[in-house]
Amino acid sequence: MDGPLKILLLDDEMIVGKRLEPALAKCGYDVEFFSNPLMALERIEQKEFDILVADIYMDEMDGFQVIEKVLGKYPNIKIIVITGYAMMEIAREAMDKGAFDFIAKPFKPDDLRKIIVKAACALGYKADDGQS
Amino acid sequence: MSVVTISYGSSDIRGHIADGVAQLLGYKLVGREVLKEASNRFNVMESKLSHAIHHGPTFFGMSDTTRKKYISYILAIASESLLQNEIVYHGPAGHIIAQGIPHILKVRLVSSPESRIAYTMDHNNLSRERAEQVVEKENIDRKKWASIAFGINDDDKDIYDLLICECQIGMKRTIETIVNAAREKKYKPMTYSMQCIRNKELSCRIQALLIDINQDIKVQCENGRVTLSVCLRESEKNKKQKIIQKRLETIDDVEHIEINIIDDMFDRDVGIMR
Repeated sequence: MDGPLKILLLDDEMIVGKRLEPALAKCGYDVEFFSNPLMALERIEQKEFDILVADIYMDEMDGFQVIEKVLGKYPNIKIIVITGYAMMEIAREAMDKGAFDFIAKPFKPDDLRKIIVKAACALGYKADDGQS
Repeated sequence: MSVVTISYGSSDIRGHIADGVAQLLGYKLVGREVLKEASNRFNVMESKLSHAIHHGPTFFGMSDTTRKKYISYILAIASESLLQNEIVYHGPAGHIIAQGIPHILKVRLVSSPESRIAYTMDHNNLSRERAEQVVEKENIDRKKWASIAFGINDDDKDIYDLLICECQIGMKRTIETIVNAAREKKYKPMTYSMQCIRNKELSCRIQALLIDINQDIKVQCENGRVTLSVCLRESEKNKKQKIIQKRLETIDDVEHIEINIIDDMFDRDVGIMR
């Protein structure tokens, strides 16, 4: 694993990106935020990310479709689902489609950071800083 | 990596299936020791706890208040057990605690009425007529306690993920079916589901701690925020609120407490008449 952990953050609520992007960048991660799933997928075509943090309910395309497309291209990527509409059925569907973890909004940036550290470990990164 | 709860729709199916599932998955088996632990922790005889969950109410039997208290003790210990990962739980009320928790596979084992009657005749050396009565009473008791204690119909298929009639497919295939389901990705624990079970466990723990204040106290916990709904008489409101606050101070996981007092209608009406 070379360089910092590459994270793509996808949520149609701009406020989520505004809060999480700097919080995660501060940890030394290479973070890119998108509020439009179609644009996020375009970016994923150009650049390989280690982790995708994605919302489920978005206008242009739902998170489940994003999961399927992204895992189809990069089977090793770790996908963390974040949603304000957490329910048993949605959580199970996300995990069934291959999500690495599922967390309900609202959460503290540190809660997400802990999951990212777990995902990074699963990818072979060192646990402390997301660097190889 | 998941958790499996197995509940029995009748007394002819017992722990050997849970045991087989635990062995194949390499999980820990948790069952009757829940009652033993509740008995030790809350200083109530195990037989009384068992009675509270296995027998429906009767006119001269256990009072409603006592039953609710004992059930809250059992739920506190059962939910604590379900905090663990990689367990097969076949103790009391597992499927009820597990409602809404994604990583817990809820299995219900049922058998045909005929098979149950045959088992009861054989096991208890009873006539067919008597065995039919026993099976019927078992059905009524189970429905009654599930409805009184949790407000649910224990036979409602929607509260389970898997409903298996063991007498139709045999023990081996029953075990294999459960094991295969438990290995599905959708039952993998996740941050959300672990938080759900922690919330549930804290609710049950607090309920058991406060049940002597009011048998119908409702407790809801979300990430350390505790909401209580309790019906209290005007004359006891202040005193009991202080007791509740004091008791909850002893619990580390509690970050915020909100107490919603519901007026005791009877007390209020009597007060007006006075």
